[in-house]
Amino acid sequence: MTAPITPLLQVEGLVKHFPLRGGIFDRIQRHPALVIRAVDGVDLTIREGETLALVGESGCGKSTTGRCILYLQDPTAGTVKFRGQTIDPTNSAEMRERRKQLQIVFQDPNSSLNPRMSVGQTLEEALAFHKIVPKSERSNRMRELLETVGLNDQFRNRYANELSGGQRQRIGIARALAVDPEIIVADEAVSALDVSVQAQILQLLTKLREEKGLAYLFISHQLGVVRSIADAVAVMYLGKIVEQAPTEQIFRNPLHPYTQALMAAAPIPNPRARRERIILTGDPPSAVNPPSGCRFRTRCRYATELCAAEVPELREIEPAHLVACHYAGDLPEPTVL
Amino acid sequence: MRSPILELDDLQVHFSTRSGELHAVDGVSLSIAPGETLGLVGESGSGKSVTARAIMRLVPTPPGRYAGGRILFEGKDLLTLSEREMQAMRGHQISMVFQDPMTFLNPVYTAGEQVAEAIRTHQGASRADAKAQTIELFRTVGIPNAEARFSAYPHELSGGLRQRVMISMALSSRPRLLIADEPTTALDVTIQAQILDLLRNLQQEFGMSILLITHDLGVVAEMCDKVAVMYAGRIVEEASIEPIFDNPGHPYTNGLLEAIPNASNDGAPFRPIPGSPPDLARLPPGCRFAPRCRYRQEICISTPPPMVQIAPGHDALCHFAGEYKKNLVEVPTPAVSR
Repeated sequence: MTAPITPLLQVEGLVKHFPLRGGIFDRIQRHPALVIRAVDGVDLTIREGETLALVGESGCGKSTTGRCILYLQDPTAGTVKFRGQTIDPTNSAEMRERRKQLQIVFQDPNSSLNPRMSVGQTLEEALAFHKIVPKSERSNRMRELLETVGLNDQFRNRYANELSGGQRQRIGIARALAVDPEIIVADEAVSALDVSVQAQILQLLTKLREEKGLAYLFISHQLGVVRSIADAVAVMYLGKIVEQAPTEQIFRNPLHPYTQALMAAAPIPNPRARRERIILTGDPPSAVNPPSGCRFRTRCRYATELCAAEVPELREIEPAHLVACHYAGDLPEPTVL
Repeated sequence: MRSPILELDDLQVHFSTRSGELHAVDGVSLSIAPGETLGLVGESGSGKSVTARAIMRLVPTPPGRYAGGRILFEGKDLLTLSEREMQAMRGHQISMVFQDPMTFLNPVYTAGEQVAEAIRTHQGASRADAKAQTIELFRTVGIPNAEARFSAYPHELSGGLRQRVMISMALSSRPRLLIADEPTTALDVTIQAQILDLLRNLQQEFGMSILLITHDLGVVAEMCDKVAVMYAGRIVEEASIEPIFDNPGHPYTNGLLEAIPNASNDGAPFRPIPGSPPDLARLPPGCRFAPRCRYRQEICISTPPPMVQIAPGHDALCHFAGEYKKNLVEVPTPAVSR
């Protein structure tokens, strides 16, 4: 499955465990240290100009994956390759360069923008730190950036509290664009917005992709949004990728029981929509003590003894369609949406 | 026609702020029949949550003010009740479920104690009896290990379970009307599906009416019999479920539907509504949606629109209700943001 050209970004064997500090008694009695297995062996590939969506429910590790790729959090294990070159987080000169290429837009622009800095100062900081343009050019560049995200130049004097949610998110995007990145990790970038404004931001992200050839790692729990923007989708459950495929393929033919349930659960804005209702019972298990074998088996309606005994590996069931399920392809097809 | 269980008649809720008197709810009329589910849809700031709180008389006064209209519950105007009478109504005849159970539940009492307390208050049940009823309710709302969960503190429960606890408390008095304010917005989709399924089943079992407040038209499509769409303090369209989706009478409803990227079709193109909702302190003189409307005409900018009947039971607040598409040439949308 090696692509002929070196992919833009390659994540291999990414692991992030957060140690859980036990109480003093645990330590005296030398109980083994517990860890939260937030990300437990994730491989991802993003090609030039491609949008890969990382989908899953809260706590599945999708945001941690995004942060580890940017080394905002140090992964426990695994490598991130940019254009075939392994990123070395200890080399600060290199990291500075990488951070120009890899940028992030957060869910909540309220907490990611400094309330005491005007929009102009926020953008200027990014331009100055990375020495993107000479000082004399900064003002022009700022105007361009604001224009790119659909705001006029007067916004540079405003503060975050004077902006609507959609405008704040535009500033968050402008800040990421300031350094001319090649990949933007969009971590639930439209989730907090009202539907009419959400559509505006999605349109902006699409436009930027076309104009600048940007690639996105689009982290989201909203399947409708994902279908409208992504080229490929990876579904995560409890720290692992359970299914990955080109967007249309995964929506037309989801093969992992978890993906099937996710898709069946998303409400369809059409009162006449008929489909099979798959209601998963229970909550996702704890990432401290994940189930043996397949991590989804405790909520899976098809689970057998094999699922408890053996960890299913990601296998290619049809071209470019990877599924981590022992029975992938042999399960009854869910009623078409 | 069955007589409605709840009827809002030209309700006005105003807030006094530094920028003047804001009409958060500006002449809202709607009605819910027994056993019916009405979806109240709108974006943040449209006034849908204030409407819900007003029905429970939970709007803080001041700064809020019930400036006019009536809230008729089984024919009785709730705005004329004394606080004591209202308390007997709340959590008894009318219950409410909120978006965030963590701010609703008291962190220092166990989940079970809180529900049992509600039962004792409203039904005068004994301690033992209230506990037994609570465990029974926990089972009804699908809380596994109901007995053990009685003594669990809210922080020990997952988001879905907390929501179930809150629902069990709301249902403890077998209310005639349940007001659910974004009950599943904070939950993951698989958990949302569980909770919606639960609400549907409980409604059948208890025969109650539901006022479901949400911004999610997908949830509306799955749950509601009727829909009222709110924009800038006003109901702009009201109809039963099918016409809202098949033939939206108001350009705003149409815009909302067009803006949803839909997981169930082939990633059909979606179309944003330009701009953002108006500032309630500076409302446009004509139609409040006109500045964002693709179909606006001169009259829309100058004159407030009337409520127009499109079909029996289907009304829209628009000069061109139901006909905006065929009669009008689309005007170019303004810049993406202003």
